[in-house]
Amino acid sequence: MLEQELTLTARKEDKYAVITTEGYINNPGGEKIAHMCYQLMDEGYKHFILNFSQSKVINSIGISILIEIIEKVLELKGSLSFCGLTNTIAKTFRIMGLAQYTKIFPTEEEAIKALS
Amino acid sequence: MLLKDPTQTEGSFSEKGVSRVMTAIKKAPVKNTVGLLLILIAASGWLLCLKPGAEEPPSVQSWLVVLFLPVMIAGVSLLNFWRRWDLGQRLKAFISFYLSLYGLHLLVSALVRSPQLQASVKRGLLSLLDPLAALLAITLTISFCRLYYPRHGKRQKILFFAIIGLFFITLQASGLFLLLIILILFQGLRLPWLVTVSHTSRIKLFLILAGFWISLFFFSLRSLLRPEALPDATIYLGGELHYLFMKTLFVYILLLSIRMAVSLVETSQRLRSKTALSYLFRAVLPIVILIGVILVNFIFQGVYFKFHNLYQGTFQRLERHGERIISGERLRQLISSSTQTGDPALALNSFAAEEERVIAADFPGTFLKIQLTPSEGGQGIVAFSPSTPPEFRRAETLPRWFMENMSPNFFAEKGKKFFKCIKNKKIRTEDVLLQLYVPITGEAVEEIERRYQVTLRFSPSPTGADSAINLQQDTEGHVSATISLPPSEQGQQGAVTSGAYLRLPLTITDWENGGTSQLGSVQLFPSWKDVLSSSYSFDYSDPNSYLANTKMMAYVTLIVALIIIIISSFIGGRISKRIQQSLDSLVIGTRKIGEGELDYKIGIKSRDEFYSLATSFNLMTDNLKKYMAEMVEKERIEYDIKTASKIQASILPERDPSLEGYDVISYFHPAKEVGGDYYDYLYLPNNQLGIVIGDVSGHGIAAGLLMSMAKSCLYNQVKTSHQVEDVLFAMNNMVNELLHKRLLMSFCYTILDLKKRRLTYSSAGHHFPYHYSASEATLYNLESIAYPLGVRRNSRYDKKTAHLKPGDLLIFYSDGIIETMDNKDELFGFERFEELIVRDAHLPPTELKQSILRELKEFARGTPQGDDIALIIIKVK
Repeated sequence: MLEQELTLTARKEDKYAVITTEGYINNPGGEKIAHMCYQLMDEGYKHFILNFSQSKVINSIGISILIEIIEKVLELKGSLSFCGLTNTIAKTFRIMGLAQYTKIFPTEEEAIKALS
Repeated sequence: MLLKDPTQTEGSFSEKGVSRVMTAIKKAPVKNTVGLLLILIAASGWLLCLKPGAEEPPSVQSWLVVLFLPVMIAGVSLLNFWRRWDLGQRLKAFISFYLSLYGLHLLVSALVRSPQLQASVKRGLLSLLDPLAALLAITLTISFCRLYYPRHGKRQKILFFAIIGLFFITLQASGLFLLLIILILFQGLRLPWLVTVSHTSRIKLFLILAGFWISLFFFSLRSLLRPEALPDATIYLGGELHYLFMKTLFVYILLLSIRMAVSLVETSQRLRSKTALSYLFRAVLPIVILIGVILVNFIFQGVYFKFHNLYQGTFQRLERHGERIISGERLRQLISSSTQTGDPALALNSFAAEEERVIAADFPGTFLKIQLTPSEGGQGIVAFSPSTPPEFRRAETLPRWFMENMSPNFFAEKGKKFFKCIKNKKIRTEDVLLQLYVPITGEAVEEIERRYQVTLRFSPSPTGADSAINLQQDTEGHVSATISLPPSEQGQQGAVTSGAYLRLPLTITDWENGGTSQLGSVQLFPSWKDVLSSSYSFDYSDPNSYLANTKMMAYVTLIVALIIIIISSFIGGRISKRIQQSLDSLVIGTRKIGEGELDYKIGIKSRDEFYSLATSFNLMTDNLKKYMAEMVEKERIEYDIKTASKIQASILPERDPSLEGYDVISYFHPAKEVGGDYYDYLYLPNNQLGIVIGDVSGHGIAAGLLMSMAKSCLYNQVKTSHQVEDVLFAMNNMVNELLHKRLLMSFCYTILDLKKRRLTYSSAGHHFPYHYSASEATLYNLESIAYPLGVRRNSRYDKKTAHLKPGDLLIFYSDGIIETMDNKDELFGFERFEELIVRDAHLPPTELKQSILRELKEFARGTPQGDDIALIIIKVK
């Protein structure tokens, strides 16, 4: 379970895209998220919602990749929101400064509502 | 011609609406049994349209019926030949084409029933087609054995042409052919089991062919027994088809033998089979072959003796018949009365007819010719039996010794001199010798002297040698001839020449002087086809020939036996030697490898299990060598890791600081040999203690190296300024320069003023340190939010402050504690950690550390540690 390979699903809306993860966000998992985000950026998306409700574990490299994504989004003047985080992950995001530049919502609906 | 897709095999005939029979005909070459069946149908059709004994030429309808099938098959086959891509398909089409032509030829030859025409056709067309008939037989058989289909590579082609060559060479050996017929009869049904492919189809094929052959055989035999029932053409047709079938079977057997040899070679590539073969060649096979040779000898001897007796018995019976006729009173009366009535020929014909019926009991189809010497000045009397061929039925008068191309000879019998005229005569398909004996009297002497320009004088042979004419020329140029008579000619009662006819002396009245002499002949023409093969000849007069032949066969058997034993021993020994060599190679190879020569290769050329074993063995040594190299490399890496771990351990503080008023204790445990966590103490001026804790993303050697670089950078920085904001600024830029983006470092730097119990701290993405206030019994997070080091260059980090009181706790830790995971993938988390601290905050730092580690261990329940764990506990006394 710990090493469960990350699977991604992306839902494209008009102005934003929702990426739902399932599994361990480690180095290869983070790579997958980054790859998908960059593809969506190439398609013109600037606003992203990452739904981590199915991901309970994220390691330090996964976080460093998320920071990289945040920096890209900021360059594009877009936004990145997290939802479905466990308390531990939410606190980790806050400790590591990710919460400074992103928004954290309990649910995906709330994240979407905040975007619209 | 535009070739179409070979998969579109259906021809245009079906498109034109020709019935399904045509489709079957098209497939005839593919289904060879169907092809043979069609030939049988064609032959039956011909027989049905032919009336037994018909003298009139065949009707137009007969011609159409006979020619329809072969012509259609030929046409369709030719069409198929051009439309096929595949070599096998083309060959089959060619076979069908030739088969139809050959059948056509047979049918036409049989239909016309003209011996002259048959002979000319046979000499011309058949001589041209005969090799093709052989080719037909070969290709049919090859198709049965599927040697060329579906693949026809180089080896198959070589085999194909080798078979053709062998066929033409061996087909002429009639003795071998006879042996093969015997083999077919006795072993044919067993041979298919000796090869490995298509047993069922071979059995079916053989049964079909055998049935076809047997029906032809009995059909031909019935025709021979009752020649009046069916015309000679039927026999001819049956014989030709029989011959064709024999050739096919011959090649079939030949190919089966080749298949057996191939199977033997394939089988010999297995060690178990090879060992068995070794024993087979050395012991079993020679014995079996010897027994076989002896049996074949017996068979040959039996066949020889049977024919010998049959041949001898035939002539003895013929002689008895001849003697009975000659010595018969009725013939004497007939001769006597015929000279008086003046119609001797009629009486003699009647007599000949009666005798022939008697003889026919022993020799069916025999015809009889009784010839009397002509009377004085008159004509000879010739009698014929009803079955005498027409060419003998013309009236012949004597003296007819003027017949052209006769070879003259002289013969004396009891003082009488005769002129013997000999001529080869063709009766049906056999040559017989005709002999005429003309008494050398006045007219004959004159004629002989005139024709040969000699003067005849008679004298006994001075040397006793063979009879001869000695030509002599006198001084005036006249040529004279002396007839020498050998003693053996005196009183001879008859002679058997080439076995085709019998001459016996007949005593009749001399037409010159009324005396009696033995003149004339009785000729019996037996029908040899139902007696024996005319190809056999032997020394009839030698009673020891059988014994001599047996001795010869014994010598042959001995020589063959010796050769077989030598060859078998040689082959068996060679196989055994190869097995032994392979074993030796393996033994040597294992010994060498055992001694450490991993580069040694076992070389075995034979393609058997030894080869597989040697190949596996060589592969194993290769892998072993590779594995050993990997082991060395792995040991080297492990050594490096251990060294790096030691270096890291040396980077971390050797002991915790011993401070007045403070209890300080730390703990570090890497997830791997080399971790990415870092903590340190800095003894700063003004009674201050710097507390550093950080975590490089990831762990292992790379993380450890980065950690050491961070320490180096930190130590350099504090020499310049140990202030919190300056240290974090410098450290961030250093990490930003040295690391690529995805390698970050969390870092928390705290300065504890020991005297004032004041904290100044800042954190770059590292977990907030805990401050437990003993007086308030409350746990605080010393929050300071910022990215980890290295994300953004020139980032500024705010410093925070806090104050401690006696009994308070400071806890610095890495994420390894929070991320400790149980077997259900549940994280230890902040809440558990915070509850634990609050619960055990009253304990001394050492016991608190133990409590924390114990809790983590119990929580993990054996789940491996996923990340480094670093822990610093400071308690204010």
